[in-house]
Amino acid sequence: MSSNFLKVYSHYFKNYYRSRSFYIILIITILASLITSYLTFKYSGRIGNLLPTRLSVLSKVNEESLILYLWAYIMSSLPVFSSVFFSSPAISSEMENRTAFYIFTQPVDRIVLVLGKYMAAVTASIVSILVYIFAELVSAIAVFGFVETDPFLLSLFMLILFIFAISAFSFLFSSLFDKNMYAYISTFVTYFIIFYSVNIALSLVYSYNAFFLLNNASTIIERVYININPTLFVSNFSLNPAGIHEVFLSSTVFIIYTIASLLLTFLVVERKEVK
Amino acid sequence: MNISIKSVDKYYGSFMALQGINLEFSEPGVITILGPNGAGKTTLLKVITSLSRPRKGMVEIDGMNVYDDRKKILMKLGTLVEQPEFYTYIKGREILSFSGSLKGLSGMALKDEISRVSDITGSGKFLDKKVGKYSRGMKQRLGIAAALIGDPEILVLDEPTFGIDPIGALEIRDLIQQLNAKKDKIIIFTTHVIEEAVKLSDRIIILNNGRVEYDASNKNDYVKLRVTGPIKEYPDGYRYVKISESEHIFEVRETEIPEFNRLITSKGDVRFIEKSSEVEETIRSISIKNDKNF
Repeated sequence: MSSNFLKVYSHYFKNYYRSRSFYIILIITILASLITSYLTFKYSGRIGNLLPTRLSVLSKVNEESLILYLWAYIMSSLPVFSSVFFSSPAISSEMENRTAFYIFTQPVDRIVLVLGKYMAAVTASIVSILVYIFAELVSAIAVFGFVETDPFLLSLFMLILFIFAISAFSFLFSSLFDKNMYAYISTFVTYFIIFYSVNIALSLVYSYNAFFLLNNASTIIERVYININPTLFVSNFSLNPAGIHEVFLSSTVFIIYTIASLLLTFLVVERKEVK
Repeated sequence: MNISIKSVDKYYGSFMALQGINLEFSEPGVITILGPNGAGKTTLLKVITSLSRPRKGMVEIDGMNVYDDRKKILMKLGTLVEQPEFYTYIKGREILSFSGSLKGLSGMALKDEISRVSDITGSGKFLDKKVGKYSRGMKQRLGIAAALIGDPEILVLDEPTFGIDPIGALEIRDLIQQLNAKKDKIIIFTTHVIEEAVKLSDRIIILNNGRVEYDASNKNDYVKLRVTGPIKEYPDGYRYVKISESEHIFEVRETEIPEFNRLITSKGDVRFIEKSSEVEETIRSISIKNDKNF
């Protein structure tokens, strides 16, 4: 099984990194890196003065954390785009482009096919975001002379867990449809409209933090610097990094989404008919 | 080698694609599934290759259910179902290498096998291009090469000459004959071209409206569809031969088999009939109808 997994993985990864989607994501990442680097260099040492009065409390945070929070905040949305490009059409495109007639008649278990393609999509997402991480590191070292290793590595670790979770979640939608457009729209609508609406409604009406929603959990990527959740309308926030229990909670959410989505995807694909 | 199709029914929604199919393939040779578009040929191949699940019945290959032992079954099979499509950013050689490696080939053995299948399918000259740049015919050749890799015991080819230029189609027919020469494989292929079926087959199965209409190992022993009833002049002014209460012959065409005509019925079915005086009379009646039409 493991040798077939590697064959499937490398076959799909080749197709991903040579694809137009990969270069589009790379361009988006480079643009985001350039803009954030520009902001970092241009406004370093002056961020406190630029903040509006209602956010003046942030000027009490050390500037390195504030800048890295900004970098991580932008970084946490990149996996959503990459997963939409790589994972949303993962299964549906096999049906729509009729490659399923070839791939599903190869002597390999469908679970291995899904897992191999999933890992290839995750790798492609991580590789495309590496440019941004590199730019973040270079900018932070250039401006501050150092980067505090613990929160930086923790943020990266959370980012990787989030990539696994959002990719698995997108794979699930992809397995349900035979048309890419439906898979794209469902992933986008669920993540950007349903999750955000539920999150905002629960926080506004019940002051409840819907920690179990993927978009909410993904804020841990920036909250390891300053514990402000930008998706919530709640007043209690901390200028300190998120505590270990919050990191643990978000990690658990990511892992549950990953495992549950993949298991459901396996079940759907195993029974999927090629029409 | 044994393929056993037992009481298979397949529906797409309420549309019955296959009904009560019972077939047994155990002798090596070319088995052609012949029939008009929509007869259920491709659906039958999808069921055999586990791409589709029947609502009722089962398919067993060497005693193994194709859904329960999918991987083992696919190891024995080389398939080309529907017009093949591949990942556009992958080169043809990488596709063959992938298929070969999943069949357990590696190193020099894999390289030699790729060279063997690309030689016999004529795909060697474009294997190092990305599939996105392939024409329909090139993809078809690559698909056949991928099906042949690993020299499988059973080959399932769905309209392999479709989309290929006439010379290419002749080459593929020659290839099928060549593969059948040793009589060590079961080659199941579909076509709606009767001449192709006659030339290549050891056994012909005619599917129509999802049912086996005819199954013959003697290729000269085709459907004996008897024309029933006299030629009548109907109120619309045309003369038809009725073949059943609800159907009449719409058109008669010559085929390349001297003894047979091809009939297209008013329901769009295609049937084959031995030439006889009745058929000659039918052809005349159709001519009368056509004269009135034009």
